[in-house]
Amino acid sequence: MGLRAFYAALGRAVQGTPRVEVEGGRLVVECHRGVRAYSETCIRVDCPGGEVCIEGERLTLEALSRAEVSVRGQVRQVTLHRTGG
Amino acid sequence: MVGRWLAGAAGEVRIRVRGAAVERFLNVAMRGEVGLWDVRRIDARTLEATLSLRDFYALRRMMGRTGCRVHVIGRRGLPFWAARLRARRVLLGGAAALALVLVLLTQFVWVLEVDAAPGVPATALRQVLRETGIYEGAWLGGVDTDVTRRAIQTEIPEAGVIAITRIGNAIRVEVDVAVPTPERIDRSAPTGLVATRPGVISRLEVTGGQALVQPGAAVETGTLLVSSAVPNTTEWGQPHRAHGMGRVMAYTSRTAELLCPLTRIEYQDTGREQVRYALVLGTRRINLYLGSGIPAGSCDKIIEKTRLSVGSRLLLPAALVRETYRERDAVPVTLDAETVGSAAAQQWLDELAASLDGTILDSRFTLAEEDGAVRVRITAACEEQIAAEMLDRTPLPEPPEQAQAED
Repeated sequence: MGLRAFYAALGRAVQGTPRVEVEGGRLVVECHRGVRAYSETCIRVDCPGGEVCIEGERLTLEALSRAEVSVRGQVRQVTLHRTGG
Repeated sequence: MVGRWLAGAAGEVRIRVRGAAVERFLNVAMRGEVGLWDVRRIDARTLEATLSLRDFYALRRMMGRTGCRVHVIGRRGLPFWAARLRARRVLLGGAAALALVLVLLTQFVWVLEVDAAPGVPATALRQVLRETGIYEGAWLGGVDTDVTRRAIQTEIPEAGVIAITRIGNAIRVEVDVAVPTPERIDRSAPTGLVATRPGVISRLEVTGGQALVQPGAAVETGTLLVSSAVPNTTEWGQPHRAHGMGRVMAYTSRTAELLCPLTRIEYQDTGREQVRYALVLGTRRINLYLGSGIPAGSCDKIIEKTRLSVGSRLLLPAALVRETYRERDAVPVTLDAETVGSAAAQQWLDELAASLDGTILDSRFTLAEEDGAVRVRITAACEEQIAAEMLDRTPLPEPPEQAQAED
């Protein structure tokens, strides 16, 4: 395992609550585990302890990587649904 | 953003993904460390995304787990461009040959500008430059500016400061005229100061020798003003020879008589103009015209040279020359005597002021018209330095008799 892969694995092992940021006209979700649903009006992102639901219009995934999900479009509402109490 | 551009240059692929669960495709790609960008949902079963060429090959191995089908709908980047170019060998060869020719052409001197100051023989200078390997068409690698500079200093004694500047494949040579070394003053020579012009002495600044005149004295040309024979003084004790030096200012009068024609020729544009083009390749000129309708004698000729270059530094041996000929007529113009006379007098006074070692105190002039011309008589009252050194053999004065008697 390379150093980069090691740190990525370490990050995943200790990752905590999801982090949502708005920067430069895009919405970035960090600490995620994948995309549960994707449409132009709603994107649901799986996160540790719940899911982040982004609602709006003309939503697109600007970038998708293991580190973050970047969403562009007209965001109306961001909701965090907690699971497992 | 820069990373995205680099990824684009390294090759990127636009794909269309179809399947019942495209989200599953997204998550498989994400877990496989495949970066996706510009992901757009087309419909419930379709999305489009962009990924790097390297990730595309990695994605192909994971497709079995996604239940989706992937179609390539676009390719971009250097690898695809190079692959397309490989099929066009003639085009590739032509581009390579052109690049090679450009590189070769920029290895030679194509522009040589020689700026020789008045007094420096330009022909001899160009000959020295040629002999040391600086000429239009010379190989830049053979140019050694230090050798050339030394050769100019040796071969052309009139050369003073030499500047050889190389910008790209243009060389500019600037040679200033040498400043003559002032003659060494022989302070042991028995010289005096004589008047070079008649005048009335206004003041003296004698630093060597014995002053023979005082302010207010009228002197003629050749009058000895300062003698080399210095009589007995308390400092020196005995009469002795000295080197006469100093400045002797005198009030002088300068006159001039000028005859100026009242009619002069002025040139006026007729509005007729002709443009000719020529191509210069290396040192060869190819005229792109046949003859000329305007005689060159009565025309203004304006030459504009546009040189072919790569950027601002690398010049190529090709230039387009545009020559514009503007026809003009010689028209005689007659002016009044006052205008011509005043202008001539002012010009003479300006020249006098520039050459005078002193100042012009006052000036006046008279005008007399005669046979289509005006005669201008100018008189200028000046205060100027009139002393000049020359050998003085004036006998030394005898020592005072009283001093001899005491001995």
